[in-house]
Amino acid sequence: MTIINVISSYKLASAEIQSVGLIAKDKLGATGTIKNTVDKSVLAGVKILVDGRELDLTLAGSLTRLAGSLA
Amino acid sequence: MEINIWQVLFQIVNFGVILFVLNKVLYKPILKLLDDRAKKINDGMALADKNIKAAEETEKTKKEEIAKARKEAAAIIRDAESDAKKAAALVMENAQAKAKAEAERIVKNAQADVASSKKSMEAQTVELAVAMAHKVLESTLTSADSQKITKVMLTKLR
Repeated sequence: MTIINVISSYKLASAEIQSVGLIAKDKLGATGTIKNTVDKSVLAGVKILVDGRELDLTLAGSLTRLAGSLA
Repeated sequence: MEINIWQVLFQIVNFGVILFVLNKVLYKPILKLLDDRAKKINDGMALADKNIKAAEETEKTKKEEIAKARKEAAAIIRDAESDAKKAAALVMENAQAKAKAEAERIVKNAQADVASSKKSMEAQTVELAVAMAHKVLESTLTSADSQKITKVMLTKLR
């Protein structure tokens, strides 16, 4: 069974966890059990990790992608 | 004075005999000697003339040979000078082309270095700006704001 790790700055509600599941399926093609980890260092948004792949939907990740497109 | 015919005749005969004897014994040999000497002298002079002509001919040939050799030497020197000039021009041309190529290469490298440095500085600037934005957000974003942003993002992306 695939474990989908979602890291957020707070404990996600079930509706939010469901949204994460849909996003993981849509963007990473992954389905499985969602495990929510709380990490205060995550500014805003979530990070989804599954099978060694990462989808960074945090504010920090957005800033990093913006920096990459500007460079 | 009485002229004795027999004496006159005898004198004439005597004179004739003496003349004959002198001619045979003296005049002819001496004349022959003189002729021989004259011939010898003429032969000698002819030989001398011949030798002088031969010497003049040799001198003329020698001068012609010297002139020809000088002409050839001058031509060789001219050719050598021309070849040396051409070689020098070629060396100069090659050196100039090499120097030009080297200068272009240096300029190209310098331009590449400048472009690379510019790009690197831009990347560093952006990185720094992002880090600063991150720091500012860290200090200004509350947990409520963070949760709000997360909820909105999750809703938008599903």
